[in-house]
Amino acid sequence: MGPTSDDLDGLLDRSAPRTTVMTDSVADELTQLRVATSVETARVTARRPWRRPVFAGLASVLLLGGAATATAAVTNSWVPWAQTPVASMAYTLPSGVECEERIGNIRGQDPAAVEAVKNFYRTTDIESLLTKEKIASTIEWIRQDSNIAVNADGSTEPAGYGTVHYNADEEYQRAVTMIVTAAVSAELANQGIDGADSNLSSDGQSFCPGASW
Amino acid sequence: MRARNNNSSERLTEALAAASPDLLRYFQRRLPIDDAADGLAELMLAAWRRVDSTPPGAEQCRMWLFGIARHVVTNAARSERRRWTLTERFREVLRTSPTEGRPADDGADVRDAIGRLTPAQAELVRLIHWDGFAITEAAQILSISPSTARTRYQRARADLKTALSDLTPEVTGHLPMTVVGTSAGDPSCTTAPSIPHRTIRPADVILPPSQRIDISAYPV
Repeated sequence: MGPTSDDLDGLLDRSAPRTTVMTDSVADELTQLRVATSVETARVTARRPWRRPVFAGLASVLLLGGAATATAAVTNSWVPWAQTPVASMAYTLPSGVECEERIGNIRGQDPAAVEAVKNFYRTTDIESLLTKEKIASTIEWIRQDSNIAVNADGSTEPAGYGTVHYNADEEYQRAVTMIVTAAVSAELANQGIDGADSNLSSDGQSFCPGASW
Repeated sequence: MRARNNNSSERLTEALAAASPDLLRYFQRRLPIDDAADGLAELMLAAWRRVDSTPPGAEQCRMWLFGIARHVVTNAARSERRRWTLTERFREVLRTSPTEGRPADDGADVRDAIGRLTPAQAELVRLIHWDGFAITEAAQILSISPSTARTRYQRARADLKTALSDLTPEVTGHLPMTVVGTSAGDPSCTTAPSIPHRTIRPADVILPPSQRIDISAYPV
């Protein structure tokens, strides 16, 4: 025989997991979080304008190169460091355009960290990181992120998937960058490099003839 | 371009101030202890991004916020939880703050039984019995009709009654016991170090150095 209706209500009511007592400290943190999130979203919408809409993710501060034009995209003009890259990879955008991306200009204050990054790129089959599943999950993450278009006059409007500003090629390339960068960071973590070198960075340059960003 | 509407901002500020404690509990009842602060941060960020959609009326605002909270939890189940920098201190405060409710092991069988319901049924039961919503309010949060909610709830109760038939209720007919203690959260959460990486396109596109990619929150 099962519990009576009253018994069942009691069992269900009492099964709620424990929660935090609303102390003054917790209440203060709630207030600060409310203010911080308000400021954070306002800050995103105030980012500097670009010549055409620029898409800024909230957690990932990735500004896509809005100044690139179709003409520039078909001009194979590698910047100096990209003429001797540490690594390169090829991928196909949703539009069918083939991209070559070169990675290099790795720099930072911690020589060990810089060497670790270089070594990662030299020894890793980067294209093998770009599986369909990983691309799909990363794109899903991107679509959940904040995307705001900043117009030339500084005004903003929603951007990203489902808006007039959506560009599948841009989204795909952003996913590629995120996957590769995250893999580098994971490798650094594995090596116990704690990321204290805030100037550790690398650059990438892509050549996607025919792409219309 | 739509500027942030002052009236909307005020409504959202008031709604968040009023509902934040309950929203925090909502996340604590559904997410691992260290994830509740981040869940709440995601909810607040999402709400501020849609500030112009803030409904009129305090109660409508509250329902709207819980609807967003539900989506945050649903998304959390599909992907790794993001760690927001702005919640670091909040997580620490929550780890060391006293908690209330039944002892953690108490009700585990019931929670398991709820977890074996369909996700839609389970969330309906949680909203009603854990968060204290009326069935019509729960229906609104779940974006279903009240009649659908009632049917779904009755089925859930029938399933739970069967699943819990071996459990003898230890106490009935009085308010839930409250136990105050300190949570035992794991303070050792780590975030992989990040390396900023910029991607530029040919020709004249050079990103300013300050515009780096913080990948610490990527789901990889």
